[in-house]
Amino acid sequence: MAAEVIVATRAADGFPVFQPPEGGGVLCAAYGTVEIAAGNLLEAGDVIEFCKVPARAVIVGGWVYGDTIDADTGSEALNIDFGWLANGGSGTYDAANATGLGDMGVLVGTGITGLIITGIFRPAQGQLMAVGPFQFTKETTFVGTVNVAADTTGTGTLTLVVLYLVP
Amino acid sequence: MTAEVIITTRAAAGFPVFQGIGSGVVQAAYGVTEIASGNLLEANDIIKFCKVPAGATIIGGWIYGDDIDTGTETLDIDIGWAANGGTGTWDAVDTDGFGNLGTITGDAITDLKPVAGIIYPLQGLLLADGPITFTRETTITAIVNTAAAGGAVGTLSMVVFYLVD
Repeated sequence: MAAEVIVATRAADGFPVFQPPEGGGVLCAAYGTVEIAAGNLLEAGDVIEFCKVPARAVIVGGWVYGDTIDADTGSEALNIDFGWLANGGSGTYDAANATGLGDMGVLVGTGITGLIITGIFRPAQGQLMAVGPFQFTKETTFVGTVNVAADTTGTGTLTLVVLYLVP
Repeated sequence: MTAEVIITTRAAAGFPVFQGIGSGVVQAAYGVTEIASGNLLEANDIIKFCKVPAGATIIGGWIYGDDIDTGTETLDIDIGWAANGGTGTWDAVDTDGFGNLGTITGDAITDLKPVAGIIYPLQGLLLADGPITFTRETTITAIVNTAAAGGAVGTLSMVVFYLVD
C-alpha cells in the first residue's frame, strides 16, 4: 500500500487541545496511541500523528512506549523517528522537524536489563539533548515518521507522551 | 511471619486522595515504605503505595529503591493495582499491570545509573496498550513474589504520573 498518514484520536481535527488554566511551572502532558493491526502494518513513509500541544508550549520531556512490534528474530528493522510537523509559526522550533524528539534508530523492543523487561521505552531526546527544553509559538502536532518497516510481525501498540509547560 | 499487606501513609484509609483538576495537567501520587530488619519483605506481601482518583489516566511513573537485595539476588516484585470496584477496561485487579519486573538486582547500569539502586519506569500495560484510565479511585500496589536473598533492608518508593480528562 502507499504510505499514509495515521492520525491518533488525540491528534484528530476537532479533538480539543488542552489549554492550561495557568502558566509557569504547571506540568502538562499530551499523548496519543495507535494500534498497528495486521491488515495495516506500518511501512516506510508512513506518518503517525500522535497528539497536539498548545501554542507557547515548552517541551520538557516525554516517552515513547510500545509493544515489541518487530518480533525478536535478531533482524529487527522497524525504524521510526519522532518529532513534529510545521505549525505555521516563525519561531526557532516552529519548522517541521521529523527527528526533533529523536532519531530512534531501530526499535528492537527486547528490553534493557535492569530497566525494561520487554517492549519499547525511549525517553524523548533529540532537541531536548541538543538545546534543552524548547518552545513552539503555535499549536503543534507531534508525529512519528516510519523510515523502515518491521521485519517480522509488525503489530502492536505505539504511544507517544509529551510533557510540557506553558510559561 | 505470614505475608502481610504494607500500607504506606499515602495509601492509608482516610488519607485524602487528590482530586484531579482536569485535562492536560499532570498530577502525581506517590508512596514510600521503609523495609526494616525486623520486618523484611517476604513472598506474597502486598505494598499499597498510593491512590489515584477516579478518572485518572496513568501516563507514566517510576519505582525507586535502595539496592535492597545483595549477593545472588532473588527479590522479585510485580507492580500494578488493586481492584477498584468499577467495571471499566482497567478496573479489575492487575498485579503486574505496570510491570512484571522479574528479579530486581539493583545493579548499576552503565551510562544510566552508575550507583546501585532500583529505578524502573512503569511499564507493563503502558507499553502494551498506552495510557490507561481507571473509572474509580484506585490503589497502586506492589506484590512480592520472592523475598530478597541478602541485605533486604532499605527504602522502596512509587511515583505515578496521571491526567484526569
